[in-house]
Amino acid sequence: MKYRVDQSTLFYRLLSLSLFSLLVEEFCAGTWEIHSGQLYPWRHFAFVPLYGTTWLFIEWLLLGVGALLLLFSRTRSWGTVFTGVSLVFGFSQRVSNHRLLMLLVLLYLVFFPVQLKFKAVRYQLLLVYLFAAVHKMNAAFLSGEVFLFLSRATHDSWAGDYWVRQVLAGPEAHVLAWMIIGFELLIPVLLLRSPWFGFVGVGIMHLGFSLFIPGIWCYSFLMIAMASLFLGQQIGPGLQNRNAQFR
Amino acid sequence: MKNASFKLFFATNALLCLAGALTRSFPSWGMFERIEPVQFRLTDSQGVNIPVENYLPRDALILRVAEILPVLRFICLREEARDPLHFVSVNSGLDFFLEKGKCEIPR
Repeated sequence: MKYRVDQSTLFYRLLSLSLFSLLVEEFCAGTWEIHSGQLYPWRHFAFVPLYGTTWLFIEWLLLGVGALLLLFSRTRSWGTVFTGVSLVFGFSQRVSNHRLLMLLVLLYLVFFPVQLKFKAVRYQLLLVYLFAAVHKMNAAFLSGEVFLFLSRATHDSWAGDYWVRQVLAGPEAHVLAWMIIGFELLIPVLLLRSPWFGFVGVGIMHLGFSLFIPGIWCYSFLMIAMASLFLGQQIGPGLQNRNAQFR
Repeated sequence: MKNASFKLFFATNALLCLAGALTRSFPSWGMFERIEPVQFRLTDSQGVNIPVENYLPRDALILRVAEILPVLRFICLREEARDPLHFVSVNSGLDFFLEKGKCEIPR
């Protein structure tokens, strides 16, 4: 039996996975304790008041229901609106690059016309990789010094302290730095030229990052979801890579 | 939205990212490209160590010393009974006390 899934279904399934991961990661990280005043409001915009746990519950409810609608509903418009509203609320309380990227993707899905919204997400992914690589081209990153400091700042990673020290704080950290920049520049080219290789590359790189840096599974799944939009219309055995060209 | 306005939108988006990469005064996609060596110690009036991470969400990564300073005020306000708190960060050249009641970070 042939298993086929269309491009948009795969994208929305991965996006839902990313949104559910955000929900779980925020719950496990202690976001509720932030809003109940027990923990410091980390990365909170000073000019927007920190809201209480009732509003946080509404924010999470919108996110969860929206992610479910994206997963199961056919039209998905309510899912994008619910999650978009939740992310606007959340961004006013907790600023991070992955939240900003998620918000941008949801805004494209809500406000851009049907024929342009996926194209916008693809362009955005290329911009993120390009500028992430440009930002890293500095002496501190290329020497691998950043990884040493990151290994000290990182706690409770999935890889565990031993592997964090071995990989991030090891003598070959500068090689790792060059590899990451190389991948960030290579992946956009792969996504445009041979989308399947690019898609697999995005998966390996970001799932690898998630093992070493806590709290970024949602970001990894989001990048994988965005990369899936470079694949053909029909995905699975008997793939017809009709829409693989970057248009 | 027409194709021309779509292109204009992404050209502006790219220019903002470029400005962010060159000047660092605009938001851009810099991720872990610069991290300071953050080594510090916070103790109470009895000299007992106060683990700062106990007051932060579990996924918080302290990447710059400046990020820790507002957290110290939060801890000081919550731990009044243990004042004055003593903060030392040798590699950042910071060494100060957070005084009872005020909890102000010296400039």
